Amino acid sequence: MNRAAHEREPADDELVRRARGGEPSAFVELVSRYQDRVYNTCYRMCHREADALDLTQATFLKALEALDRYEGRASFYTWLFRIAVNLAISDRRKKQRRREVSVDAPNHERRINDPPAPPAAEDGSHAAERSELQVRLAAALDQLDEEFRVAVVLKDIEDMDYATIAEILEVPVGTVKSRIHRARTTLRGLLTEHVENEDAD
Amino acid sequence: MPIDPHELEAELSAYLDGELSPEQAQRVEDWLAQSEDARRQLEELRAVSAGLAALPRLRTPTQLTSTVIRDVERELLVGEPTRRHWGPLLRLWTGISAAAAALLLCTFVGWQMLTPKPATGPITPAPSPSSDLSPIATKSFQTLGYLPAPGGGRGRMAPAPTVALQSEAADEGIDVAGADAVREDLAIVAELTPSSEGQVLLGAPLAAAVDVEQPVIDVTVTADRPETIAALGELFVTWAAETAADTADMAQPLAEQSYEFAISELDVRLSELAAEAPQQVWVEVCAPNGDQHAPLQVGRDAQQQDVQHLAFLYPTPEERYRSGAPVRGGRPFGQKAPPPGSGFAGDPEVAHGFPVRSSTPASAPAETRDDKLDSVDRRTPTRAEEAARREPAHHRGFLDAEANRLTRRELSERHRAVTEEPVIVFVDPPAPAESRPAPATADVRATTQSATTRAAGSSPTSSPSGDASYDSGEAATRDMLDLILRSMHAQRARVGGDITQTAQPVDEFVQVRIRVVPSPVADETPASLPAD
Repeated sequence: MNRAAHEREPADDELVRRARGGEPSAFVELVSRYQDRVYNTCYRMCHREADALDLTQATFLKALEALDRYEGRASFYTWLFRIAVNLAISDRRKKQRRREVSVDAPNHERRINDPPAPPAAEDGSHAAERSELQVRLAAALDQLDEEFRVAVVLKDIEDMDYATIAEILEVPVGTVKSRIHRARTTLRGLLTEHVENEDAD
Repeated sequence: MPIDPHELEAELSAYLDGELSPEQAQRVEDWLAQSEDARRQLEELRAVSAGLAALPRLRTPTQLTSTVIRDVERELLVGEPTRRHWGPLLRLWTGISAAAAALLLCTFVGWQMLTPKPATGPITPAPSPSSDLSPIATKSFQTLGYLPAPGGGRGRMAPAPTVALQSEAADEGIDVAGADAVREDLAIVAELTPSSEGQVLLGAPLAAAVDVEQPVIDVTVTADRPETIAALGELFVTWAAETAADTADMAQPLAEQSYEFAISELDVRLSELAAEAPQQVWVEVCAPNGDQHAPLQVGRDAQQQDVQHLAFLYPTPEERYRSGAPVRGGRPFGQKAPPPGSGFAGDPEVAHGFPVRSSTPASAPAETRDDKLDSVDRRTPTRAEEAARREPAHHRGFLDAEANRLTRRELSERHRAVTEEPVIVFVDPPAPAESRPAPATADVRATTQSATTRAAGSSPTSSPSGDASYDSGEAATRDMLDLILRSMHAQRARVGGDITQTAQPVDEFVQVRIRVVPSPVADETPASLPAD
C-alpha cells in the first residue's frame, strides 16, 4: 500500500468522485496509477502476458462500469483488486473447464504433487522470469489452486497485509493466514521435490 | 506453557509476515529457540517468500487508458446482449462526439439496407456522414473530453440513448435523424437479432430505449459460519464463469452478486447452492414485486433434520417408477420445461445430477393451480404431473401412509439409500408465521392457506409447524414463480409488439440478486422439526 508516492496527488477517493462527476482525466489518472500492479497480479494469476493484459483491461472496464456503485466501504484499491482477482479466478476456471472438455490427453490429470511442468516457452508464458530458479518458482506457483495462489501472490508479490487480503478475498483473516501458509509449504514441497528428482536422475 | 509443534507450525508464515500478536510471536520464538527443525522450516518459508517477492514485476506494455475507452465504445456498439450495468457507459456514450453519432447512425442505416426484411415503417434518410470518418477509437481521448456533467440524478438507468444522441447532435448543430428514426432502426436490428426479452445486438442501450426492465429476484442466504460464506463465494465465482461473464458484477463483493439466470435453471442453481453449502443455510427468495417471500432451507444438515419431509420428497424408487416421475431430478421451480438446445435439456438426472422434488404437490387444489399456470405456462405437463393429476388422492395417500408407518430411523435409512446428496427442503422462515408479509393476490393467499390447512391436517404425527410450513413454503415458492412469469409477460405486453414480439424468446431470464448474510444468532439455526 505504497501511498506515500501519491501524497501530493489527489487521493483515490477524490479521483473516483471526480470521475463519477464526468471528469475523464480523473479516471485516466486512476488507470495509470494502478495498471501496472493490476497487470502484474493478473500475470501471476494466469501466467500469460496476453491474458494478463486482457484481464487488466477487463478490470478497468468493469471498474468504470461499476463506478456509480462503488460505495467507498472498501478503499478503491481494494475494490479494484477484488474485481481483478475475481475476474482472474473466473477466467481461469472457464479455461480449465474448456480444457477438461476438449483435452483427453493422459497428462492433463496433473496433481498438485507432480513436479512442475517444464516451461512452455513457445506459448509466450514464462517470458518474464530471468533465472532457472525463477522459472521453477513461477511454474510451481502456476500449479497452486487459485485460492492459495491468489493469497500468496497478494502477500509476497503485492506485499499486502493480511487484513487487506482478507478484505479483497472476502474471507476471514484466519483463512488468509492458513492459505498463505499452505501455499508456501506447497511451493516449498514442489521445489524441493524437483531438486530431489534431479538428484535422482 | 506447553508447546504444540503442529499448532505452532501453522503460525510460522504469519510470524514471518509479522502478523502475530506479541504473545503468539513469543510462543513461536520460544519454539524456534528449542527446535532445530522449526528454524529450518522458517528459513525455507522465508526463502519461498523472498523468491516470490523477487520475481520480476511486469509493467503494462501500453498505456491502458486508450484501450479501455476503445473497449467501452466497442462494447457499446456490438456489446453482449446480456449486459446490464450501463450507467457510466451510457454516460460515456452520450458523450460520444457528433461525428461518432453520425457514424453510428450510418451504421444502423447500413444494416437496414443490407437486410432483406421489409422495414416496419418508413425509412428515414440517413444523415450524411461526417467528413471525419476516422475510427471511433482514435477519438477516445477527445471523446472523453466531451463527457457531459451528469446533470441531475445519477440513477442506474441512463437516459434513453436515442434521445441523448439526438440532443447531443442538436447541441453540436448537426442535422441528424430524429429519435423516432433511430427507434425504427433499433426495431429492425431487434428483428434481425432475436434473443431473450428483445435484447438485441445493441444490448442494454436498446433496453433503455424501450424501457424493458428485467425482473429481479432477491435471494438472501443466511449462513452462520464464515466458512460457509466463503464456500458459497467459491460457488458464485463458478456461476460467474458459467453464465455470461458480464452478468455477474465482479465489482460487487462475492457475497452480493447479481446473476442472470433463465427461470428454467433456477432450480438447478438452488440445488448447487444446497450442494455447496457445507452446512444448512436459509434461503429466502423474494419475488420481483418484493412482497412474496418463499423461504427454503438448503444444505447438508437439512436431510437429518427434515427426514419426514424427505419421505415425501423421496418416495421409494418403485413408487417413482410407477408415478412416472424421474428417478432423480425434476423441476420444483417454475415448472418450465428446459428450452430446446439449452444446456439443461435432456435427461433430468444429467441435467441436475441432483435430487429435487419432482411432482406437482397434491396439496394445492387442482383447479386453482391449473388456472394460475394456464395463464402463464403453456408447457406440456410431464408424465409425473399427469399421473398426479389423475390420481392425486391415491398418490398423496400412499406417501402419507408411508411417512406415518415408518420410524424416523427407517425413513432416514431409506433416504440414504436413495441418495447421499444434499437436499432442498421448503420450510417456513425462522421468523414467526404472523410476521410474514401477506401474499400479494387473493388466489395466492387461497392456495397458500389451503395448502397449509390441508397439510397440517394430514400429518398429525409431526410438529404443528413442521409439515404445514413445509407445504406453505413450497406453495409460496411456486406462487412466487407464477408471479415472476406473470410480471414478465405483463412487461412484454407493456413494451408492445413493435419490438419484442418479433424476437422469439428462447427462455425467460431473470436477474437474481444474491446476498449472503451472517446469521444474527450463530447458534440458533432453526430446525423445522423437533429432535427425537
